[in-house]
Amino acid sequence: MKFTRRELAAVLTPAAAAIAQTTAPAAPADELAAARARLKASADALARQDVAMDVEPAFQFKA
Amino acid sequence: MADLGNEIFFATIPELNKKLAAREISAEELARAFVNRLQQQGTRYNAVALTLLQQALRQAKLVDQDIKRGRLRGPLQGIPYGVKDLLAYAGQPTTWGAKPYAAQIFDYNATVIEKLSSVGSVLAGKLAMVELAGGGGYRTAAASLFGPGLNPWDRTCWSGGSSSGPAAAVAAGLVPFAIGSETSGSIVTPASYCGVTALRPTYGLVSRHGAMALSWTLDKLGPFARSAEDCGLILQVIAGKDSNDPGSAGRGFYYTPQYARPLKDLKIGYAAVDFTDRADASARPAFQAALDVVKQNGATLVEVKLPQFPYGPALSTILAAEEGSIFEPLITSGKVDQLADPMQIAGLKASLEVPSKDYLKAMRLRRLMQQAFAQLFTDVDALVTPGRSGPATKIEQPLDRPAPGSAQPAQGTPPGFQNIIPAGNLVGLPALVLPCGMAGNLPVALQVVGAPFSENVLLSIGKDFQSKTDWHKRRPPV
Repeated sequence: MKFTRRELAAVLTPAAAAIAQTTAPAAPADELAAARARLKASADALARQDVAMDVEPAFQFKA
Repeated sequence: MADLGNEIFFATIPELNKKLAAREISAEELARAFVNRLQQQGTRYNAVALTLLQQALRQAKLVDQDIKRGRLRGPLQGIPYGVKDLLAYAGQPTTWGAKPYAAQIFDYNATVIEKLSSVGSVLAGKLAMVELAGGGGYRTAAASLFGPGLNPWDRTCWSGGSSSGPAAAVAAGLVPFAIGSETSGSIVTPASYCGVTALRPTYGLVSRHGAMALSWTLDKLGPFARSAEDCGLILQVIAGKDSNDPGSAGRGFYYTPQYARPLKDLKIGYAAVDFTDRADASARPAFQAALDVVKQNGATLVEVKLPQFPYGPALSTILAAEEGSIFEPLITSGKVDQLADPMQIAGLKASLEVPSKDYLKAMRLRRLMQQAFAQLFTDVDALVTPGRSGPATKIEQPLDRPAPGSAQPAQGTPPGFQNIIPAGNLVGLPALVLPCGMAGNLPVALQVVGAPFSENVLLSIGKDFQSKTDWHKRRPPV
């Protein structure tokens, strides 16, 4: 039995798309962008916090 | 060699010590039995980095000579143990669970190993971990040189991390105790998932010298063991001032159950929502039964709220800034691309971009968090909550999103203590993990959190809980 190219595409494309969705890892550039976005979200959350001028960081330096 | 039977592999430190002192068993026999078991069964759980049979036998023979001459060094003498493979052991690989460091060898021992050696404990092996203790973030359980940590209770499930090997090895009776580490959750999570008692000490109580640094101000080393009492005995040995650790608290720890305050005099803070709406439905009966046991000990339970701060963002910022500086050579050389987990690779690369103003803001908020928790601990002596809200996840489940079909708390559900892990780590608080029941075929646990240096309070609560329950004695189907 012969299939037209249109018929073959209709059968194969959803399966190929499904495989692509479940197995293709995110590109490294996308992962880096996501990592930067997470750090930016943290920074934004910290920026919303008011801290009095006289509060020092929780570490000490001693000579 | 005499047949030791199976019970020996799940014995507590005092039980093993009694047999050694009575010469029913020699340290050499014990070392051989445990190292062989670690070798034969550790691979079932991807729990082992390296076994140390020859070194263990050499050390055990010296212990036997000491015992024969009456040179007794305490309850840990002759007891085999494992360490997370971020602790330096001279002359052998210390891989940090990561391919770029697979051949790394140090010429000295970590302080914790030196301390345990000085009392005659016998190092049986190095145990698997998530690569670089998962600092950059990781999406899959397979983020390790050793493959995914498999849970001894169900090997289709994750052991938890990043101290995956220590938790699995103790749960499966491969070592009587192990030393792991926590920056944010890496003792509490695998202990909860594997049903093992474990202790995250106060920051600075146990020397970090010789341990891979992930975050100078967040890293702590602590024991996984068969009981709260065992954790107390181990902490007494490994705690103490160390001038080689800039973060050392400069003090030791003495396990003093005989001087513990009566539990009826204690106030324990909790959030009811943690045991109901915020808990996984499969775990709620176990959590609620465990809370009832805690109530039975006579302590007063009071509902409290955690101080309100952006714990997650603060911890993420501090961790990123510090790990970025620590691993800058790895990242700028490009060797970071050899890591197993793409999310970890990206997280480490991004960590070089944390502005100093953000790091300093987080560290200033951290001082306010310390003050707020100090105030909270004038009202209560400890906090109790689930170690994790549910049992271990499936191996294939991505770790950065909820499992399909899992119910999430309704919008508007009070937060409870959902941020206790980042909060406790930011403030440097100790936490004791206590197996407390089962959710299906998987264990769940409580965590009891206290003020800095209140380990004896936590251990007394734990010892009482474990006198009334036997969850810590349950064994996976090995």
